[in-house]
Amino acid sequence: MMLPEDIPIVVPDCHPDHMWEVDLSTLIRNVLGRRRKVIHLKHGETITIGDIRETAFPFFGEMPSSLKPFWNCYLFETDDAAVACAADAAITDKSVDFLIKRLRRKRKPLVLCARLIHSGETSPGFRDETGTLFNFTRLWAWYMRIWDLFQPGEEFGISESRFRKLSQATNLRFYLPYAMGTAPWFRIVDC
Amino acid sequence: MRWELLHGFALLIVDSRDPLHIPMANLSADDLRVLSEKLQAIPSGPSLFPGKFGRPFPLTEA
Repeated sequence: MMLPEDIPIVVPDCHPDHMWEVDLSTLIRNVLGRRRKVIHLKHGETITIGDIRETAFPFFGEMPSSLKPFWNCYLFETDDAAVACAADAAITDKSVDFLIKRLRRKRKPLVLCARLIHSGETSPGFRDETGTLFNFTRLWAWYMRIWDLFQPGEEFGISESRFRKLSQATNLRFYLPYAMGTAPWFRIVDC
Repeated sequence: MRWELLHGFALLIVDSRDPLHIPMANLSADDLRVLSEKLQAIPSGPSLFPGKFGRPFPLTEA
């Protein structure tokens, strides 16, 4: 079973200088065939699919702060509603400013799909925690260069202050805790 | 020892008593309760998304 060939796949931009980011279009064409249509969407660019507009904005937090990412989060909009999908990203001031710029003074409801709301404190090192030695995200740090291990990093998800700012400046109606390994409706009955 | 596929690429030990166990990110009912209280504390703030898996939810009526 495979996604039909006539359906394009949208991926982030890539550049040979960014050796820490996989060239997804090459990978997809190698795996699914050279005829596969792959669309690169750079940060700030929009593609329209039927009635839905999809705009890419930066996916922060997956890499150490010294490595600038081309990875994307996506804002999906219709004339009536908007959904921001941030997966595992850290939603920074830049991300919030982007969403506010796009949605300010618009009455359409916004759904934010993101990791948890946190205090806003940065981690002591890249994906490091002070409370537990073997934490969920320390696995990633095993692959980092030494100097990157000690750079404070943005937490996944969104800080409470940024969440409030987004809530005040847009018609943010719903928040979906997202990319948490297991979605709540799979684990918790009637929550 | 039981292993579990996570996100399609990582194998984790799910037995929390195993010394090699690393906790997975996930949500408990308590996490959801704390989240819900945080949202309620924001004046005119958003709610937890009420949609259920596999069931359409009309955003335009929100």
